[in-house]
Amino acid sequence: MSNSSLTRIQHQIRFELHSFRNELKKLSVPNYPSKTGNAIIEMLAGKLDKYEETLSKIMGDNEYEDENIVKQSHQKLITKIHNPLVKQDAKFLNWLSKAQTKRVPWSFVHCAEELFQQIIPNHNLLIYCENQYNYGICWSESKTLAPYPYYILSLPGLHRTNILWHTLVGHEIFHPRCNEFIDKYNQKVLINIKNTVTANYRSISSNEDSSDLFSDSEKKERIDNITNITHLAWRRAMEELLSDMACVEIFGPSAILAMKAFSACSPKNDIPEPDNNFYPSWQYRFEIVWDNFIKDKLSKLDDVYSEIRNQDIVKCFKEDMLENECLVEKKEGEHLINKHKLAKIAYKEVKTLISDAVNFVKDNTINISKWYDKKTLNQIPTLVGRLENGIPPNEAIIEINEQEGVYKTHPAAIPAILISGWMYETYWQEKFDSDERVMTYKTLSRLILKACEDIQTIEKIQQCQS
Amino acid sequence: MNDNAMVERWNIIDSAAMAVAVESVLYRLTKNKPLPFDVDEALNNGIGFLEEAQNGGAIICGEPESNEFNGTLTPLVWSTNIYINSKPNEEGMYKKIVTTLKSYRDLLEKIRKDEVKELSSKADIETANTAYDFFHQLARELMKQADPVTESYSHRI
Repeated sequence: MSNSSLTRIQHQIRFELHSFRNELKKLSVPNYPSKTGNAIIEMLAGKLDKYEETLSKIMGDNEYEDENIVKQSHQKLITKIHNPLVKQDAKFLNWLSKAQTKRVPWSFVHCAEELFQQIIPNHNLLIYCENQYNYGICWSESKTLAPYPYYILSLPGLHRTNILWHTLVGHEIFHPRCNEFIDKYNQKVLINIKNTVTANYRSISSNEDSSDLFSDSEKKERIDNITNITHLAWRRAMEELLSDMACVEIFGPSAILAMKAFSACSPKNDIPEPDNNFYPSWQYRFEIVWDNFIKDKLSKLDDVYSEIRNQDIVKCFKEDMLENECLVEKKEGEHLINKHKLAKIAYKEVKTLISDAVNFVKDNTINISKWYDKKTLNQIPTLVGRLENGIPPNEAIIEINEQEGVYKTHPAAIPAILISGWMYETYWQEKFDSDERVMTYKTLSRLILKACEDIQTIEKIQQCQS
Repeated sequence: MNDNAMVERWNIIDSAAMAVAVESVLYRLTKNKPLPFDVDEALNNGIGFLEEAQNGGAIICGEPESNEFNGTLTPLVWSTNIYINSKPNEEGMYKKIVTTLKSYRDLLEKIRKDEVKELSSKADIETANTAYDFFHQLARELMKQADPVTESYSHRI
């Protein structure tokens, strides 16, 4: 490693830092729907200052006559500055450009941020729309990489205004809480998995079975590798299931319908494996959340149904719920898991933790407004009626007396807005193609988005009045 | 690295930086050169990494040290890869790996605690040399995986 190569890489990195700073300046011009965008730009500018400081220290610490030290300085420039900058920090440039007001469902951003604050207090959320077909949340436990105080939530770009699907932010926002649960059981599960994997390995080795469970290199006593993969499958299953549970606990049937709509184009019953990032199958996920969060609570809607004026809407919604019930009844998700050796080992551990997981989710969403709260249920018939008449489902009016200036109203709760929206959606799916006079899906989405925007205003007016 | 996930404590970028920094400390110590500016950070991170790898190894051996292992086996898997490259795969391998990792961790802790600037005992010099080789190989492997250029490639779609 020559000194001139070290100088060259130093110049390259200085150029990269300068370019990054320029990009940040450009990104500080447009509007963001909340304060988080500009706060992140400030945080990144501070980080660039630190990189410059580190660069000077590395160059000042070098001993040019020792080739190994020159090489180590070269590697430090790469690992301490270049790699984190181009691999992690550069992602923020993409996130920020796609988090600008005009590029996100800005009416909904404050609702998602409020829910986030309830689940993960004292942290900040940046919401952006990505050109990919998935919801996601990114955060870091690294001690040096971004984004520490920031969580980055992505929505599928083509569905930016498809507010009903955004019920799924409830799932994403709970993801960072899953580690508390997983850490509690981590070691016990890891030991169980290791013991079962070892027992399986020994039985396969002794039978000289050419099963594809272990590749040739793995057969050389690489229990660590196989245990790690199986353990990862368990972790991933717990993360997804806990997040599903939280979303369904808060939004109930809206979450089920959003999951169903979002997964409509995906395989329903696949084995979790590295190729699919160990996602548990949709079928298995539906079975878990239906059995633990919906089955016993669905009857709470019975009183709501009778209050809804258009009984066609009720009929369509009930039919969809019944279809979901039939979908989970056969337990096909659970049966498939048992046919695959490693998945079976991982999911045996999952199964034993389900009831603890249900309690964990309930304990950690206790102060959040939920779909089965009396207040929420009472609002639903009014909100469905407003939506049907082309009015945003934003408030439940208690009393109006224009002569005496009385206007008593409750801003609609988000779970109530979404459930009324989904009820209407099931009706819309049935009626739209039959040329009956119903609004377009775009109008439906816009009305619900407007409702989300309005509730913040109504809350502010009420605060001023009180 | 998946965009929609948590960045693990021992992710590839941080781990590569840790390995390079510890390698640099050990090299300078064994050659009696002044320690680098990031010696404290290097020792803390190196000890943290070895601790997680060692605890993972203890679980594989069936002898966990505590009931609170919150990590993954990834540091152990990386360490085992390096170990296997230099030694034959043999009976009781994981026990030997755990013992080796512990000796490296003890050395780093001693350097941190006593603010060692120069190694005097023969045993310490020997451990420092093998630990240097370990972190040198680990840095090479992790830097290869962390290279941003190989994340994507031009291809027909």
